[in-house]
Amino acid sequence: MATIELKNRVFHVSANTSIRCALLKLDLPPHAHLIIKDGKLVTDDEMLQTGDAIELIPVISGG
Amino acid sequence: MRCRKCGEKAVINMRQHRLSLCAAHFLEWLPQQTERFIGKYNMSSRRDRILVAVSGGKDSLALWDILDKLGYPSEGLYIDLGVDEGLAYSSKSKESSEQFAAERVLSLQIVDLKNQFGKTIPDFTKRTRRGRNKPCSICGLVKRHIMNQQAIRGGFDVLVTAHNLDDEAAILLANTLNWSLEYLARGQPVLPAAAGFTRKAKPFCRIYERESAAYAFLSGIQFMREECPFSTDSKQLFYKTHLNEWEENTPGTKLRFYGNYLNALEQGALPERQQKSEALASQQCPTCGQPTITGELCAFCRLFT
Repeated sequence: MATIELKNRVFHVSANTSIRCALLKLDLPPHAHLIIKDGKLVTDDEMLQTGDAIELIPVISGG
Repeated sequence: MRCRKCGEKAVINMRQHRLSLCAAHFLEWLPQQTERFIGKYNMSSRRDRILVAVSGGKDSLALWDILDKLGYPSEGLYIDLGVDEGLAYSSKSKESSEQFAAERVLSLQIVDLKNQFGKTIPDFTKRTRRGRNKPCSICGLVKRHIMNQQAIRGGFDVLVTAHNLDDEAAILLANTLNWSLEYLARGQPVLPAAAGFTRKAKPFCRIYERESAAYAFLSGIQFMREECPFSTDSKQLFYKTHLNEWEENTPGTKLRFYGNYLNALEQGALPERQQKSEALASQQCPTCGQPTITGELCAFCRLFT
């Protein structure tokens, strides 16, 4: 399993899938977030490994 | 995914441009794009004094950083709106702006709404008819008034805001759904100076919000990550959410929507209305001296009556 954290919510997702697939399954548009892994920006085609902890930074602001 | 320029590992994939870049090349690419749009729309020159409206957020600090790196002389303007709501929102955003300016030895003006005018945005929201349950409406009015006032008083040649493509596409969608023709005619990236109005430009108008966020992150800019507590139910967020669904399905949707709108404006799709607003606001508010249509108190000064 891997985790995806967004604004204090933590989602547990299956490993061996792309971050993009994981986000789409969570109904989180990849386009609306920066994807951070180990403090670095990564693209959404990156494959999730067991134990990965992904942080999402929402990029869409309301005002 | 690999960087299109050097083959190193890409950090951002921009489907709308069919382009993936590594950190180094992205940090070159975004300023180049910004410079390209500044030139394309004749927004400013390096001889101009530029006032940059900053909020402490990713877009305004990314823009200010890029303008500074490109050699455009600029000062920042931060407006402390007094929004707390238990989150110290304005305090934190002011701190981000101050830290940014201090690290780069840039000049930052701060206008404190409470100190200067006696009221905060939450005060206006509770106590005025216009503001009741509509904080964004009041906030927009207040910010536009103060930004214009500070730009005029300071003798700046151009006021620059960090409105990005997502903002512009959302505004365009709202104005199109409502067929607000007067607003549709004023959506250009540059509004020329008029009597009492400073020249206004939006260098990020064709930059995706995700691109400016990536720039801010990769540049190590300590931007404010929290959202304004009043923005959670905003109409703008609603329009952006739906635009992003379409963008996810068809990359480039927002860019085409906004870009073709600008082309239509250039071809004269709404010619007769373009100067209407400035022509109407030809009188001066007796209190603050800013342009007003009626010659009586302007909308900002009426908030205090």
